[in-house]
Amino acid sequence: MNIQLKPDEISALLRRQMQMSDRPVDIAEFGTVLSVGDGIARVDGLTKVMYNELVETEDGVAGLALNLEEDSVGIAILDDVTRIREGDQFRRTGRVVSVPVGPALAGRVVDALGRPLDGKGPVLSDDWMPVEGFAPSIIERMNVCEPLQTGILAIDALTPIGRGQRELIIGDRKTGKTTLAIDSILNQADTGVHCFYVAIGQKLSTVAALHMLLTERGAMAYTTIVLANAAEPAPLQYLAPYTGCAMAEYWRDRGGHSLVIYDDLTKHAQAYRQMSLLLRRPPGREAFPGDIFYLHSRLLERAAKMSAEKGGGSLTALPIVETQANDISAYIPTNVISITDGQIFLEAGLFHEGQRPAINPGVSVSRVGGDAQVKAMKQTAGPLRVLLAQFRELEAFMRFSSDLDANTLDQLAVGRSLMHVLRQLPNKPVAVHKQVAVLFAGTQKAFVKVPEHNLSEAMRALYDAIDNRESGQAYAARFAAKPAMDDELKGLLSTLIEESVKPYRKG
Amino acid sequence: MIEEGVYARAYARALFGSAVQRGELDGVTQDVLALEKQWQGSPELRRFCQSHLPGSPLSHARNVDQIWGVTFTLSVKFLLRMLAQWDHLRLIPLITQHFQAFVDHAQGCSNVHAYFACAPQQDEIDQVRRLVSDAYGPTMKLTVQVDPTLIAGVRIFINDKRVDASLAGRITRMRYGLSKPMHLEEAAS
Repeated sequence: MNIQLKPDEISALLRRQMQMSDRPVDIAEFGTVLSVGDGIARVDGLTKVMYNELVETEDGVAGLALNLEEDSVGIAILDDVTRIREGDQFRRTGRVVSVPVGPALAGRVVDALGRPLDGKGPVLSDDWMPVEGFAPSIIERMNVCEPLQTGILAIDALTPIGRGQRELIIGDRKTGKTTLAIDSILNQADTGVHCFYVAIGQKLSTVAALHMLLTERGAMAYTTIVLANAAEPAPLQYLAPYTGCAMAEYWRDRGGHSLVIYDDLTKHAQAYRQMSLLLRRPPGREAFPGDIFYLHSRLLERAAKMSAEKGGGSLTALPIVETQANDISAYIPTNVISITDGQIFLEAGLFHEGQRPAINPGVSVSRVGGDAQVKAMKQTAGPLRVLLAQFRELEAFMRFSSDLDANTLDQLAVGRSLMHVLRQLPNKPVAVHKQVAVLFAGTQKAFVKVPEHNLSEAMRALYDAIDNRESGQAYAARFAAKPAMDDELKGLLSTLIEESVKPYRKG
Repeated sequence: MIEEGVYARAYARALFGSAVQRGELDGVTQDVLALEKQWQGSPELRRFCQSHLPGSPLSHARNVDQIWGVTFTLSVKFLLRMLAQWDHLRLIPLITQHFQAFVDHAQGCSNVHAYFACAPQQDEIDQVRRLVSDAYGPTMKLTVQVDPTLIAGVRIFINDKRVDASLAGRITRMRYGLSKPMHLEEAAS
C-alpha cells in the first residue's frame, strides 16, 4: 500500500475524526463491574441491554452481553481481561457484534472481530454484517447442484461435495484433516469461489505455516484467514466461526460462491463450554451446556445453495471435528454428523499404512453431493465404492486363508491398485479431467499389471500424457466440451492409457 | 472468587420480595436503615460480621438471635440468620444499599449522583434537579460530590444512565475516536 498524504490532508483527517467523536454531552446506559475473572465480567446495571449486544468500557475494551439475569449481566470480555477492574463501567453500544465484509478482506488475516492481524493496515470495507445471521429459509434455497471440486480424487470420486453443502471432515489428530481443507482451498484458484479459513484454538505456528503455504501458492488472493488462536480468550474463539460465516455470507447473498472451513469445531465447543461454565449455565453431558447442539446447528444451517431468484450464490461449509481414538460416537462428533450433509472420515490406521489421504470409504458419505458430481466422474466412480467394499472384505478373508483362486487374487489386485490410485500427495490437487482419466484407468484394471513400486510413476505418466501429448490434449478438450463418459471419450481415454501406462506393466 | 456484589443483590432482592409479600415493606425498610446505622456506628459489630465465625452454621444463627434479638421484623431476622449460616454477614452494607435501590425503584424514586468538577452553586444543583425531574419524575435522591478529575463540567448518574458533560469525558471520547482506524486511502483520494 503506497499512499501519498499531504500534511494538510492529515490535519483535515484528524479534524474530521475529532469532530465525529466530539460530543459535548454523552448520554449512555452503563453498568458497573461487580466481579471479573476468567474472561467473564458480572455487571450491575445495563438493565435494558440486549442479548448478544456489544458493550464497551471507556478504554474501548469490548464485551458481549451473554447472560441477562435478574440481578446482573454476564459479559464475555473480547479483549485483554486484565484491563478491566472491579468498579469499571461498561456502556451499551446498541449494536450487536458486526464485522467488515466484502472484497477488502481477500488476502487478509483478521481476528474474530474483523480486526487485522497481518500488519497490512486497517480493513477498508464499507460493508459490515452482524456475525449472528439467520439461515436462509426453504423458499430461498435450492438443491445442491453445482460441484465444488476439491482436487482430491478420493473425495471428488467417493464423497463429492456440492456448492452449498456441509461436509464434515472428521478424524483423530494428525490424520490430515487440515491438509484436506487446505487442498480444497488451493483447488479453488480461478473458480470464483471465495475461501475463508477459520482457525479456532490453533497454534499460531500452524496458522503461520498455512498462511505461508497459501501465499506461496497464490491462494491468499481469494482467501481470508479468521484467526482465534489458542492464546485468545474463549469468547473470541466462540465468535470466530460466526465471523467467518458472516464474511462468507456476503458473497452468498450477492450471487457469489464461498467456501468456509471451520478448523475445528471440537475446540469451538470447548471454548463455548468454558464460557458457559464460567457464566454458571447448567452443565450437561461431558459438562457441555444444553444448547451445544444449537451452537453448531445455527452456524452450519447458514451454509446454503441459494435459489435463482436469490442470485444462485452458495456457501459451502467444511467443518472439521477431531476425534479421540477414532471414536465418532462421542458427543460433539455425533452432533455435527447429524447436522451436516455427510462426513469424510480419516482413519489413523490407514494414515500409518501410507494410505493418504486416509479416507475410510466405508464410513465416509456425501448425502447430497452426488447430484452435483460431474457426469463423467459419476459414471466412472460408480463401481468404485462396490469394488473397494469387495476388496476390504476379501482382504479380511485373506488373513485366514492362503489358497486363493485366480478370480479372488484378481479382485485383490484390482482393489490394491484402486487403493493406490486414491493416494495423493498433500497440496497437489488434481484437475477433474485428470481425476476421471486415472480413475477410469483404475476401474478398467489398467494398473493391475503394474508393479506396486511403479504405480505412482505410471499415474504420473498418465497425467503428463494428458498435459503434453496430442491425444491427451484432445481428451482434455473433449472433456471440457462435454464431460460425459460416452464411447468417444472412452475411446480417447483408452488410447491415452494404453500409450502412457503400457511401459510400466510387467511381462 | 466470591462475587460479593452479585450475592448482595440477590439477598436484597429476596428481602425485598419477602417484605412485599408479607406486607411489611415499611417495617423492613426501617429495619434496614437501622441495620445500616448500627453497622456504621459499631466497630465491634463490623469486626464480628467480617470475621469468620467458628462453630456450626446453626450456632451462627443462634449468635445472630442473641445479637439482634427480637428487634427486627421476621424478614430481616430470617435474612440475618441466613447470612450468618452462610458466613455472609460482611455483605450487610452492600445488601442495605441494594435494598434501598429496590425500594427507590418501586417507589419511582430516581437515584441521582451528580459529580461536579468544582464546588457547585445552588442554582447549578437546582438545574440538575430540574433536568432530572423533567425526564424521570420529581421523586429523587440526589447526592452531590466534587470530583476534580473531571477538569470542568458535570457528570450525572441517574439509576443506570450516565449523562457526561465533563471535559474529562469529552477528552476521553476524542482519544477513543482518534484511536479508531482511519481510512487513509479515502483521505488520499
